[in-house]
Amino acid sequence: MGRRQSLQHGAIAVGIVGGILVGAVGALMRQFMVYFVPSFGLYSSVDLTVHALIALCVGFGMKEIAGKFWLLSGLVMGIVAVATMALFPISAHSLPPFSWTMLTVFPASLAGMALKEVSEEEESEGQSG
Amino acid sequence: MSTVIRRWYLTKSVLTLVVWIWIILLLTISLRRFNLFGAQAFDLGIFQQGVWLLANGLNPFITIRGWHLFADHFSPILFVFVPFYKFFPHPFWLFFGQTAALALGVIPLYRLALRHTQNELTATFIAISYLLHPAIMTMLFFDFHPVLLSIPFILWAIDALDENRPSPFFIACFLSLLCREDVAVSVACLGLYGFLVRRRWWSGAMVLVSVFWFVFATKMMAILSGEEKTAYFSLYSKWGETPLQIVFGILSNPIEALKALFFCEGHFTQPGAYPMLLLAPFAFFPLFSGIFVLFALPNYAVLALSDWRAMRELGFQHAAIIAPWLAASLPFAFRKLQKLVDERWQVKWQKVLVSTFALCLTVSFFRYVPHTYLHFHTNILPKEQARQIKAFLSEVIPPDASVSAPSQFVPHLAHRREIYLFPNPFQRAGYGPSAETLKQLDGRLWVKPLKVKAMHRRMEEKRVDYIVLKAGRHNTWPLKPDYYEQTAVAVLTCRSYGVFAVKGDIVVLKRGANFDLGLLKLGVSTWQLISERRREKALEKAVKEAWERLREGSKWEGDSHFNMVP
Repeated sequence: MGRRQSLQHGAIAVGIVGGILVGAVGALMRQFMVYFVPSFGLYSSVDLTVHALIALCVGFGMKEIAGKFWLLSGLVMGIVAVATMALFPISAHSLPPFSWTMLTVFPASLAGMALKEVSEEEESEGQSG
Repeated sequence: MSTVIRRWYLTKSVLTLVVWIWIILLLTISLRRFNLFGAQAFDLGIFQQGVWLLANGLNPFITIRGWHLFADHFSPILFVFVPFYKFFPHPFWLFFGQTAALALGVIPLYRLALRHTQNELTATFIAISYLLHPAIMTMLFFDFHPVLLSIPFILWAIDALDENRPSPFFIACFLSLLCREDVAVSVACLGLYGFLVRRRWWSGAMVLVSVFWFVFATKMMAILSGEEKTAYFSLYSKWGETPLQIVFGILSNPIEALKALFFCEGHFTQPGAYPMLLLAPFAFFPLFSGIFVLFALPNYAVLALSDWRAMRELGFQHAAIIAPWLAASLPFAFRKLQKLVDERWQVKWQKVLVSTFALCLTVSFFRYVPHTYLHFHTNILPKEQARQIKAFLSEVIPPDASVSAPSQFVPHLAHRREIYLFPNPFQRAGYGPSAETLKQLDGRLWVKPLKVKAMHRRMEEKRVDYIVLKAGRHNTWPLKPDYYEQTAVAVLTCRSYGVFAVKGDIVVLKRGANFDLGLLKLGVSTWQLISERRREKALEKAVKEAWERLREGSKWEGDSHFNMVP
């Protein structure tokens, strides 16, 4: 029971830190995008796609640390990523709406973890087959 | 040499190098700002005059602020600068002191981090991050403040408490209390943390000492300011009148207090952004430090629950109260986070933690540090112009004369017994111990210009040898630009003073100097042709026009007013 609980805590921690990482990368991308590609404004489809891809990659990379509680980790990561992107002081002077981020980054975080799960299942099936 | 020792040497060398670069860079920035007239009367001028008076064995009554040096803030640590000021009176010592002090905070933080994370790289990273946090680093962009000197002492005390060493803990706490009266909140919280959480009974004694010190210091401030209580309590007037009432007011209105803690705002910082500005650069990790962060809360409350909006802006010294807690929470947070993940994934997990942390710090650094740097350097003058003004002021104004000058000139004239921030002492603005003064300092209340006749009467009564004016609408605080210009015209039409010298857009008036000759220097010559009856109005109009000419046409290099120093 104790072990299970500590694994759950670990998964939550992974989700939180992963979410902060996604948010920070997103904030960094937004800072650079303003300089390099001015037409890709905040919350444009390109901006949201880039963030979703980042969330997907981070989720995929962190799945193994989350272990079997990957779903919990993915949910936490999605929520924290969206919250961090909204709250991170890239634009803390005017907190922008983040409903579109919620619709893209949140499922992407979950999908990142799930992808790893699928790939691991396929790998183990391949080995047994 | 083993790998561990080699890594230990390497990380220490990197940290030392970073600290030295940081000190040199920040010290250069501070000195450059001072040399180019970017430093202000509040607060560099105040501390310059205070330390200069102490070094010369004089009563430290700060004429810039209108009260005793220790009535403003109880900071006996300023005596440390006295021998240096006796040797060479220059704000270099103040800048060097606060920059070196802030940098030295790295040592206890590194020790604490190494003990908790057991990883030299992570410990080095934490120590460097403390130097680069926007709220910590930018404090050095704005003049000098003794409260910054408390940061390394508080970090040292936390390290000593963590290592169970009572003597260094007590020494560090006593030294930090000498920096400013409200550091007592930090020391009390630390003592309480040690007593309740770490079971160090001796740290409990520090709670009593800091409470006693706070009462003593604030009483001394009240006595020295000639008031019943220090005006700074009025910053928390919505919670209560006395410290006890304030604490009770906060505890009995928890919803209101929580709202203020989360959604406090600054001058430019939107509601809710300030806690993010503190936490985001450290990747929100301080929130994972467990119970330690709870003891940091009263320090944050000192900033968040105050009426003073500048307390919640980057670049101001107020963050010094929370800075050591933020930094010291990192080792605890890293240890907690490390423990949460299975041993197998520890290396990867550490990498994730460090890269998340580094990324948040980088983003915040580039987003806020250059921005704050520019904010505090908007009023600096070109190098050549600054050099000429410095030479001009030292040539025209004797070192022992009393002077009233705009804010940016005060630090260059501060080493004298009487230096006033214009329009003081003729009209009170940001002067004296009242609560209204604090409102003026925070931009919540503006002084309106006096009528011309009233101003002239005050100028006859108050004896100031020289008045310095700068034609322009920038850097006119504590007056609004319009009010500053109206006051300047009133001053220039007073016959008790005459224009003594003009250079570029700077006018120096001297008490008792020839008024008519002075007007000629200002470029006013036709007003006397008007009939006697309308003369005063005509004079005012002519002076106003001359002032506007100075303001609009003062190109420094090719200025026609050059070399008009008598």
